[in-house]
Amino acid sequence: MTNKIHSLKTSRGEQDANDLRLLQLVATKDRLAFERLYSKYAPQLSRYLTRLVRRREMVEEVVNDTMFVVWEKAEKFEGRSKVSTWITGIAYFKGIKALDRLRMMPEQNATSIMEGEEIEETRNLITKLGLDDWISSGLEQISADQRSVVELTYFSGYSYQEIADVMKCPVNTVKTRMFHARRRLAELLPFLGEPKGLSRKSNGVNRESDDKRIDRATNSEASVGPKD
Amino acid sequence: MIKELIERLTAKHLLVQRTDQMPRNNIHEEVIELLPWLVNESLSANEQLRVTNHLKTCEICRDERDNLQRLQVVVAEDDGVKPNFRFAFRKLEARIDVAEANRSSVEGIPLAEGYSLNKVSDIGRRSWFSSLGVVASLIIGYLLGSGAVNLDSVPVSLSARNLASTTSDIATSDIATSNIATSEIVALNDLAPSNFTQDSVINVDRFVTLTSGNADDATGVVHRVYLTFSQSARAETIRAALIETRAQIVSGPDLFGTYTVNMSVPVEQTDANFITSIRQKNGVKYADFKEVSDLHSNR
Repeated sequence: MTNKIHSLKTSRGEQDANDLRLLQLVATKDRLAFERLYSKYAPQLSRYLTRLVRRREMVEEVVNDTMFVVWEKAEKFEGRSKVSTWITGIAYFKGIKALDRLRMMPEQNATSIMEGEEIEETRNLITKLGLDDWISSGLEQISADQRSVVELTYFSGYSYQEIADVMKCPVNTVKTRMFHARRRLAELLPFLGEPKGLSRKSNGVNRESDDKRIDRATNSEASVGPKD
Repeated sequence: MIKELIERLTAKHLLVQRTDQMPRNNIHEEVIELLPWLVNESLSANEQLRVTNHLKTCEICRDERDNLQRLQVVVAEDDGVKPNFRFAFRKLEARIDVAEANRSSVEGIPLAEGYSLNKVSDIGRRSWFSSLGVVASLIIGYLLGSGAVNLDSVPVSLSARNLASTTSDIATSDIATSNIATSEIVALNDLAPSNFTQDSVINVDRFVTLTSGNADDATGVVHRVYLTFSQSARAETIRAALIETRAQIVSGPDLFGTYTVNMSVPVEQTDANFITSIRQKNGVKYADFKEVSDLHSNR
């Protein structure tokens, strides 16, 4: 039986071509190729999942869950995205499942506004703990999906289209999540006071609903389109 | 360095801009939205052009871009944790080995003719049962061993509801894929109706053990025999001996490893010769007719 993966070719750059070659070998149950793929992806998945799941003790297990699926399903890869996007997508869903198990997703807390006193406390905390701790606690205050978007954008360098592929959601949902994450992170920065630029009412335009915003973005996107 | 970064972040409006400075147009909002991906350089050429053109005239967006660049530096900073991936990979390999071994153990078992290996999900979808029924021989053994029922004249009624979870599934997959080490475990009802439902009652009037022939096929007088195998005898040896002697297990083994079996003594053979030939079978430690044995034990 010949699987589609063996006839796949990629025009998404050298890195993806290398990944695809490895994955094709993995599809033939080549352990050496799998070890190479693991060595390449485990560190970045580990980093991503640490940010997503926020529990270091769980990360290794989720990384292995992810790579186990890669081993089992390599022959099913259809080349509709980069290999890295496919693997990260698996990791995202494994991470979300792990979070579900822990019932620790502060999913809808992202829009709450900090009080002045809290901001002052955070300022003191930053001075005390340093920037790493601030960013860590700041990311903890946003939802897992928002963290995922922030991490994939700023650390992994993914386009919004790739993030949509990873998270299996519309592009506009990615933009909305980033919007909320930026807004929330801005609130958490002690020197800003009230976040304005990304507030619901910006420049007299009432941004009362995500739906309207998404519609607008859809229209503008139709003429531009994401980078391949 | 951290302090310096905080100072720099504090000196600027990070991520947010004053509402009263915002230009009133859609392109501004669109650009604000795309800035994170301008910073990570993943925008398409068209988008990049539109954003950079807007940045030339919009100080707010330029500031926001600078702020996002700082945020990227912070977020992308190495967390300093270096897990031992080699050890983790070994754990994953062990997991793969187990999965592969399980898969090959199922795939490697030859199936009996007429049997197919069904997935559990396939089996679960069946709304009716096949014509084969399976009955545990302990029930038979109990019925026969108690002397209440004679093997040759049973009809035994069993509720299909009680058997529903085992009958067709076992008949089509488990039996076919597992080595049956002891012959007394299962018997097939080959006369069960082909379309019975869970609520129907099976009238079982003839059983055939998997390891022996039908007693009706044997010629000669049927005797009940006590049969003990040596402890070192393997299950395969015992099974071979039972098949060869056309024995049907009635009960056993008991605490001493003795089976009670029905055996048909061929007409051309005397009882003494027959029992002697049984005693000479590989693995047989003791064999005698029930009546003789009981007589000896009563003395």
